[in-house]
Amino acid sequence: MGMLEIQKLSKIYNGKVSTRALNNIDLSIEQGEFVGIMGASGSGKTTLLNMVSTIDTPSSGKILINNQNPHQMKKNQLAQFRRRQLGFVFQDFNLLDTLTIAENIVLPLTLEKKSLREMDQKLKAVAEKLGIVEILNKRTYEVSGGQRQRAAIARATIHSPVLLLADEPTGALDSKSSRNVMEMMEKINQTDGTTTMLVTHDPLAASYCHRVVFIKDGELYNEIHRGQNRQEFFQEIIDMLSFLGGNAHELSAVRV
Amino acid sequence: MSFRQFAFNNIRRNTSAYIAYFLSSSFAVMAFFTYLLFIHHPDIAKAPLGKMASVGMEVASYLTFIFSFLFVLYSISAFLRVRLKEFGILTILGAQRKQLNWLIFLENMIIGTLSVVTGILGGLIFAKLFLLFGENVLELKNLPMYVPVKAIWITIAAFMALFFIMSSMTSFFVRQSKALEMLQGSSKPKKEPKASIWLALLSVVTLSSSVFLLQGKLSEESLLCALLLDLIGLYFFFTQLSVVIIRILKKNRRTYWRGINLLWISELAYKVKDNARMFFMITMVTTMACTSASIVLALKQQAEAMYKDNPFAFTVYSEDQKKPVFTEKIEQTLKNEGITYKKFPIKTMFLNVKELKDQSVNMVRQSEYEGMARSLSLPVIPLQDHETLLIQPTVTKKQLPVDLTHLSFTGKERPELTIKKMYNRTLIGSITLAVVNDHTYDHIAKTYRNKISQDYYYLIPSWNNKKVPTSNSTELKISAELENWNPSVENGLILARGSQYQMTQQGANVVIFVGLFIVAIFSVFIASFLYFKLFSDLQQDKRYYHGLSKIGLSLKEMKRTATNQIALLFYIPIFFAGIQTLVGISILGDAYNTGTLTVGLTAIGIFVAIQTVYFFIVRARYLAQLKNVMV
Repeated sequence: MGMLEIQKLSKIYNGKVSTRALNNIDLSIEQGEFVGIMGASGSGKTTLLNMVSTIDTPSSGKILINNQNPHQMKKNQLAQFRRRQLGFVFQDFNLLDTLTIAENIVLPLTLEKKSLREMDQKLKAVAEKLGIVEILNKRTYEVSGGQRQRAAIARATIHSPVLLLADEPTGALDSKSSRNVMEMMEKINQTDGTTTMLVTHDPLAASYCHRVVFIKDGELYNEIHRGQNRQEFFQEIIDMLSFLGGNAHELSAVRV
Repeated sequence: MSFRQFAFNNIRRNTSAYIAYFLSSSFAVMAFFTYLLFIHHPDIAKAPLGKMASVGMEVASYLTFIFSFLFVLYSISAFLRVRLKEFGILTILGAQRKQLNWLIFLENMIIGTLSVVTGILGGLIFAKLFLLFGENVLELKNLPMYVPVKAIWITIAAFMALFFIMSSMTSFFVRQSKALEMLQGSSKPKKEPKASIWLALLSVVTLSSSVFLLQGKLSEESLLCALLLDLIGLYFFFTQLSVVIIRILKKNRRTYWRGINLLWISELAYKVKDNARMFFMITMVTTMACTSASIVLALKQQAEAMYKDNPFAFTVYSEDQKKPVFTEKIEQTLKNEGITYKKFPIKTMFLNVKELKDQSVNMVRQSEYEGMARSLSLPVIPLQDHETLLIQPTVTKKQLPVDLTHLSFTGKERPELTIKKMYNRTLIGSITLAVVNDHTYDHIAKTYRNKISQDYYYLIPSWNNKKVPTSNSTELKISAELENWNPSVENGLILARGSQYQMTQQGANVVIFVGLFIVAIFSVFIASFLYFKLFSDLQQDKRYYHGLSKIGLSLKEMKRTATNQIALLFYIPIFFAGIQTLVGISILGDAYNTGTLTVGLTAIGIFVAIQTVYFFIVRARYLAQLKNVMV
């Protein structure tokens, strides 16, 4: 039994024309695994992530996180579940402008009303790990995009979640910052053993994963595992993407 | 699609964005129109309200218009800020600045015209209700409905001019010139509010020196000075000191880093700084409204007490004894009406007392006092030479010192009197009475002959003064007749307690009516200001809570955070207005004797109640919007 179990998951959006966004997805992620989800725009990868992150509800099928089914919980219970068990990293950081970086990072803990000592301890540990100690008292608009994303990762992991979910974390970053952010996520996965699910367009970001799952038109298409060499894995991903339909250039053009 | 159609369609298809602006403009028109409808009513013009009332009403109509002006000004700027992004898109598509201004002008004129029409229609619907209310408060006869041609014209002219000027000034509101800035609109992160520590200190200094000034002896200058200091202090309190206080509050991480406190306290600094000027204005106007309400109501209460405590229906002061015109007139009138009366001639001697710094006494003869005392069953005691009976009126707040045993007077002979007995009762006016035996009186009178005045007091047993008189009672009719009677005599005058009471009542009623009207308008305007403020930030707040919701902020916590924020917007100014009103009343209240404090608290209480209703409405609407973005 994996840490995250997705069984026969389907999602249909009803409208004037109903759209089948996901069709019969089965996926299992083991404890401590670092899995990337890739696919073209509209392939359904963000829908899948939303479902796992409990923001959206499946039309049929089941999701189990740590043997719990979050979609059977009540709203307030669900919020608490997200707060305690999950960590989120977003493309646009989602940091609050009114707070300092430190306050943003401890936010999940303050909502839990943890003691000040515990918060300070964890803040120090996570800030050192991510190399953002010197910007802790700055405002979000005073630091670079890469630093902001590292702060967001710090916020997502300060409460030691069982599952870290990242939605295009490098989508708004330059290549140097992207690399840096991905190295941080890899580090957290290795040192803390945090199970991580990453949705991305970016082959470079995906090359940090243990395994990359490809989705095409709402269905699982293929998956490839990383060997010893990341460079080789990167090439495999590019090949896979071009095989999927578009060409490498078109698919990796998300960088700003 | 022509440009005009574009403007029309904008309004027609995006009703929700325009509705708040439209409704508040309509309300402003309606308030102004109803008011005009009332003061231009043909019966009001004829009503015996006096000059003061008509001046008061005139002033109130200007005030209403000024409020409306500020209100519409504010509404437009809030409304345009929300639509900045739309203007950005139009600019990218190649719209010229001129065209953009023309679009805004057209839209505003359409909304303006519509709101003038709805405002007047709404005013006509509620007109009868308003007239009924007015006739009750002012105690007038039935006011029939009429066709308010004049009011309609004035309203149309005033507000069309207002909207025209506003619409032409739009370039003043949309300052951003770059398309990019417009596209980003209000979504750019705001800089942390800054405050100068010196200005914050200035606020503390001015506020405390204002309080210090009020502690001391009050004169017109010191009062004015205190008011000015208070204004400066309060302004810098909202713009500077509040930010400093919040910064200090944030230093205490034990409370700040706990639960949702982190969210709303951090927002607080921004909201207070953003709204500082509005807070300042609301605080000042609320203070003024509550203070004047309490003073007016206190005046009313005092007039009532004066009426009830005064046993004599008529008083004639300083009658010329050779030609007693006033007493003759009173007696003639009473005889004609068949009313029995008792007349008490009293020679009062107005003297300054050494022991009492700012008070004087009226000295009266024992024989004359006893005549009164027997009819009113008051205590009668034997008085030796240089002994006195002191009677302290109940209508004044000035108390005699407890250890007072003697009275001595300035002048060459300086007679000294021993106080034999003291009791409280309003007898003749609001000055302390000193009764002495006839021998002593005559002795003192030698020195102070020019201080003596011959007064007459009329007791009319059939006129009950335990209750206040109704406007058609015999007492008020006769009183009015006698007080208005004006013979060409140099000395003397008649005072009728009934007319005194009625005059104060009517003056107070007008002030209350006008005051109520202004407060009602103002409180609605405040609520709408706050509503606009909240809803112009709504898109931003939606994004804010959506993000928080994803990382696990529950619905309940969102509601609590948002409620705290809205509540602070609504109640911060009222809180300070309350404090200021209490300070104001406690100082001005000294001038009146009856419960100004209770009245002041009631005035604030009513204001708080109205605002609370608005608060719940706005909160419900705001939360309903935010609920949609919670996942």
